[in-house]
Amino acid sequence: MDVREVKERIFLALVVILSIAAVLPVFHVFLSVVWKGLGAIMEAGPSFLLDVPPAPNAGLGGIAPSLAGTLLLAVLSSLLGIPLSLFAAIFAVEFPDNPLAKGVRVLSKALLEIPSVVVGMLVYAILVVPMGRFSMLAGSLALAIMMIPYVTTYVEQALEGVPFTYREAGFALGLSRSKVVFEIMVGIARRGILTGMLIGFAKVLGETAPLLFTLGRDRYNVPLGPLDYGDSISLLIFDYAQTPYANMHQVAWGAALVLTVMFLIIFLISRKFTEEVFL
Amino acid sequence: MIPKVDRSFFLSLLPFAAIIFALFALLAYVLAYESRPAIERFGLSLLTENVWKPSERGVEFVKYGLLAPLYGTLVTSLIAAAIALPLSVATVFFMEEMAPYRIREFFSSVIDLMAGLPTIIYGLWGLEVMIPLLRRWVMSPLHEHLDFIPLFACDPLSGASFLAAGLLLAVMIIPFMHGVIKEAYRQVPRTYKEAALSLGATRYEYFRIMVSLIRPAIIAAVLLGLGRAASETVAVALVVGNAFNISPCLFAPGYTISSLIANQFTEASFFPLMENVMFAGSLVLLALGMLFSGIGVVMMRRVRELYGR
Repeated sequence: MDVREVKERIFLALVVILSIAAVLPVFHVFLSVVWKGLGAIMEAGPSFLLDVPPAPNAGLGGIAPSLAGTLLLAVLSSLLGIPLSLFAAIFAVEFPDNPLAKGVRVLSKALLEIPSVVVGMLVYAILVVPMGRFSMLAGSLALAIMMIPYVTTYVEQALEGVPFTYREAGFALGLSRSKVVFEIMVGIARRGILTGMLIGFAKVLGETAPLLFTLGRDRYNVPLGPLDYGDSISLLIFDYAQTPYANMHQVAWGAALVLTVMFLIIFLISRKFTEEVFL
Repeated sequence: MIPKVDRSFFLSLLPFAAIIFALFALLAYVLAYESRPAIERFGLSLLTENVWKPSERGVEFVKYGLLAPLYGTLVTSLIAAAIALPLSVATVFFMEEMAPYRIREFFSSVIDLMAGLPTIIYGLWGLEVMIPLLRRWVMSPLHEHLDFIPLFACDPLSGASFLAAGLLLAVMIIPFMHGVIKEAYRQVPRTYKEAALSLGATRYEYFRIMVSLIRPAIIAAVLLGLGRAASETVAVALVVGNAFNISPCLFAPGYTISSLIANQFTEASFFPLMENVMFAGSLVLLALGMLFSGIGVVMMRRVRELYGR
């Protein structure tokens, strides 16, 4: 074996080792979450999903208000964010030469560069302070802003992927521009659009930083209206991980498992969509 | 110009576009308005001094300087990018050139998962699993045997430190840097690859040629990764230790701008000027991000122009 061959062998071994090292932590994360989370949930029983959190050193209780908060927030923020992103993306794709549309395209991606905690501060300044209270609405608005770049990217890609002939066929039938877009283009691109919505949904499900100064962290009451204080699983984990009480750390791990499972479900669904699109 | 028949369609979509513009206008206004009192009062010393003296008594008694969080942001991001770079280059080469189809698909799923996993999960894992391991197997041995090196000179008390934050951030930005490098790697024309291989290059030599062909993209990946790492909030807040500290020692606890905001912004309204200082901090954060991603995007454009696709 000459020097070149030895070098190649060492190099290839190094690439494999580094590649494994790159993904190993995430397996460790998953195993830890399942191991510790399952321990907590088994100990707490089904009431983990139905009860309120415990006092320090007093059993495990549950995470019901935070779980409800997370789900409600995801729905509310989708109601705000998805239509906005969808129409903004259609605008950007349909009028590619218009300077306003170009601006929308660039800015909706630039939102990705704004740190999530700054989005939280923005909503704090424009909604929480004027209203004088934290609310589910403020949290949802912050999350809606977070989802815009993801949803618009997917929707734009999906719409641009529709062959031009379909559009021409629509016009040849005498349909108006809006009919062509909403009844033909959106219909053909529906999988891509749906994937974008799911990715946006999954993204806001786990967000923490935008909620820190908007939601109010009421983890003992289920939020009933958009103006109520609320909580999310992610905030609960953030706070309980910093307490000195063993039982609260256990609750945090259980909550982490619940959040991870919710994330995995949406991840797998969206994965299935994209697979079918490319096949 | 918009044709007349399309005008109503254009106008009906315009409000949604206007909201996007309004968001940025509001952001600029809020940041400028809220940070102005702090900048007027402290000026440049906001960035060059490390003091944190809140007081409820009045504006005259407070003094703030963000040097320590700024230092922490830069150090932790640099550690993260330095660790993540070789790992993400390796995964790209492994997936594009070595792995069989199934393993490649598996890897790509795992990397997508890494990218999407809620950051708070990383934070919890970092705090409760990674830090104890790191302290036991890395920090303590290094401190015991190599404590004459300034990097390892301090005793890892709790384990929450610059190193812990940097390492956790590295895990979190790998999928992102991987994506940037992969995109560029796939744009290198096939003929270049074939030319290198037909000359009898070993795979190591081939790799070096490929890396030299996508060098701007690798710089871009580092810069974009730095920007990502600098803006990460909750995971860092859990593992960085939260202390106003400027120390060359990797095992010392520190602060980053975003973790400072995450921890103290809720109480900031009780102290004069503290909120304003935090808004000024977020302005710094945005400026850093714009700098990194601005250069990064220019670099990526160069790659696209080089291989024209």
